[in-house]
Amino acid sequence: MRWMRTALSIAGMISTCFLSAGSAHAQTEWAEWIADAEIESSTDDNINHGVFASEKRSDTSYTPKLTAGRILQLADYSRLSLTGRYTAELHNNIRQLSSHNFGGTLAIQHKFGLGPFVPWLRANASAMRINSRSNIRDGQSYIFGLQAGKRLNDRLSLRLAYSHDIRKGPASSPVSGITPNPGGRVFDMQGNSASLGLDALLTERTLLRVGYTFRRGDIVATRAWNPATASSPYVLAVTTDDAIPGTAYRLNAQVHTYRADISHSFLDGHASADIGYERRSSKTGLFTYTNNIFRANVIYSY
Amino acid sequence: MSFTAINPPLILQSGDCRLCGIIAIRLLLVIIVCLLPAQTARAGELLFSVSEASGSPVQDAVVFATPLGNIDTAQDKTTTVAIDQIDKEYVDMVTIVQKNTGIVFPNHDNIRHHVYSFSPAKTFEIPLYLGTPREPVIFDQTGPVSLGCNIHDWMSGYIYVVDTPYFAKTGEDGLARLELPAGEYRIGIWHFRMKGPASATGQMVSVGSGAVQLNNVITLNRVWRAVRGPADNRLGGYR
Repeated sequence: MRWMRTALSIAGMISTCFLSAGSAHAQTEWAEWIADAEIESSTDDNINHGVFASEKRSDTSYTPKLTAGRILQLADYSRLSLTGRYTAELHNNIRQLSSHNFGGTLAIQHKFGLGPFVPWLRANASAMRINSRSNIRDGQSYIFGLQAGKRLNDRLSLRLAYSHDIRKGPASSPVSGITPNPGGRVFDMQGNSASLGLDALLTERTLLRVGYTFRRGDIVATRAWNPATASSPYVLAVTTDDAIPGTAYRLNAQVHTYRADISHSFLDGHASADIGYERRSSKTGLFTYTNNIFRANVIYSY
Repeated sequence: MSFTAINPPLILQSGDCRLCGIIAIRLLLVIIVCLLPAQTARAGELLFSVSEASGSPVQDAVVFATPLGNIDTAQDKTTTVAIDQIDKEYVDMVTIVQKNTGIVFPNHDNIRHHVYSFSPAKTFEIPLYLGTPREPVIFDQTGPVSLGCNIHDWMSGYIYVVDTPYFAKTGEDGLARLELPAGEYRIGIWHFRMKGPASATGQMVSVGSGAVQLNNVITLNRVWRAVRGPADNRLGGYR
């Protein structure tokens, strides 16, 4: 299994970091608490991955998030964080898409020396339980990731990331009458992403973040029932959608995401307000789906 | 200095008393005249005003006067100054100390900090710690020292080490005042955002009995430090 190999690679990297951490002289000790509260609003103009304007559904969601955790200092330059998170995603138009989710993240971060300009490396593994009003969207999500970053100069910093995502969905009923029948596990998905991000300080408290992500993996499109589409070799699973009227198709896609965010820090750095725009283009063997997503959020950190 | 506190008509009454009064007054005048030069030597003042070309006052500018004569400016090596760490910031952001002063860095947060400096005037590192380190760091070279924290990249502070006991830091109004003995001094001015030297830097000043006013216009650079603020995990947070 590909995801098992990825998990093993990440575990190997974490072990290497642990070993290098062991050479430093600091004691391993719980060092810091994490307590964050966030509210995010997001509008997606094509939440169902429609192809034609007439079939695209837009929706706005409001997502409060609570994160709590601790940081374990492993050595002078290495730290491990363990966080738990609860999120409630409330959709305005398509209420069946609303969900509440809880999970945790284990991350290890290593800084290669002293000072703000040395590179850092972070590995993380997270798991989340998704409880959706839509039965076919219930399930678990797992993400294994590696990130590296470096502050290039006083105002610019660069981030590179790779992640492997897995989503396990329920065994939904397959749609009958298709040959060969791909099965109904539409939300059994996985993918690999690589991203590049650049942060630029606009003022001493305002940060512009731009990024590009390439993901090769599964996406779900909900469109009108079409036997020709359903029996296409590009369709990996089909089921009747219980949230958005139509049929949900799982397809393999190459997704290009371009993103820009502006983040402003306030309350002496304990809080930040972000606004952002994301343009996503998902190219499958059948169609190309585009999404325009606007986001705004406020985060408070204890 | 005023002499009006003594009212002769009240003292000069008659005979012996009058004679005693005159002697007492003369004695008092002699004592006052003898004390005058010494009083003046201790009461010299340098009044600094530091501003930008726009007229905006510059806060946290370091001003100091190094004596050129035989004034003893040696620092007591047991002097210790504290720079606190509160809510993941250095307090104060700018600290001035005389050469050979020891500085301790008490950590008042309930998390660990990792203090360091790469500055030529003092390169040091205090790896992750809680509370107050037992040994102070001795600053035995003059010049600016820039502080950082390896855990919290946005934390920055500055120490300026001078070779004189006569130093001060400007307030919000851009003003600072030094009281110092009469004599010749070389003036120094520094700010962590200063671009180029201040007009009065290196200037010789003769301090006598009065106040000497030094108006300085400096140009400030922007200093960029890592922005402090939580970020969405999606964007790669600071943790």
